[in-house]
Amino acid sequence: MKRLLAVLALAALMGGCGTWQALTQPVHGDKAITTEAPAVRAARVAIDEANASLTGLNNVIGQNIEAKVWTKAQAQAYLDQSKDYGKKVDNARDFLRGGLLADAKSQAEAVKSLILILHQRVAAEARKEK
Amino acid sequence: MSLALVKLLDMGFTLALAGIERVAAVEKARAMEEAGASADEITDALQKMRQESETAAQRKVDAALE
Repeated sequence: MKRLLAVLALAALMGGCGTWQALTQPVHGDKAITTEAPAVRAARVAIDEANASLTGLNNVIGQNIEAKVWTKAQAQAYLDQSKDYGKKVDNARDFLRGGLLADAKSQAEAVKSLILILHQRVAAEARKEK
Repeated sequence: MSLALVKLLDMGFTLALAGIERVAAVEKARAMEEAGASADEITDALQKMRQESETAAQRKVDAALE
């Protein structure tokens, strides 16, 4: 029994590391953004990563409602939250276009942090509902 | 086995799913980069992917029964 627990704990740990890596894997290599000024690059990377994370989140919301893991109201609440974050990322993009680099970066970074919290809430809710 | 461990594994699975879905967007961005797309084109593509995923998820929520 102890051995089984140890194996499962190890599997959870390894799975957790892989999950964290997948949730935070950089969107960019270096090619497309090396010509940009560091401040522009930083803002752009934050915006692109926020968009990638929201795409992943929306797809999971779709899968969980299709699989009947959540009620319609629960899924709609998470989706509304995700759409709200999406609008904030679009605002960050507008800041970037307008040359407001610090605003663009801070807005996108804030959304990235909120997305991670929402990911955790979504996962916790899915677990509770099973 | 402890219930906490089962819950941890379960939550890890859902988070892993979100990670896998995110990786698909990352891979698309990387492929565009390799193909010589500009940074702006990649940002546009990721924004469009996100908007399409919102629409697709909304369609699924709308189709679900109360």
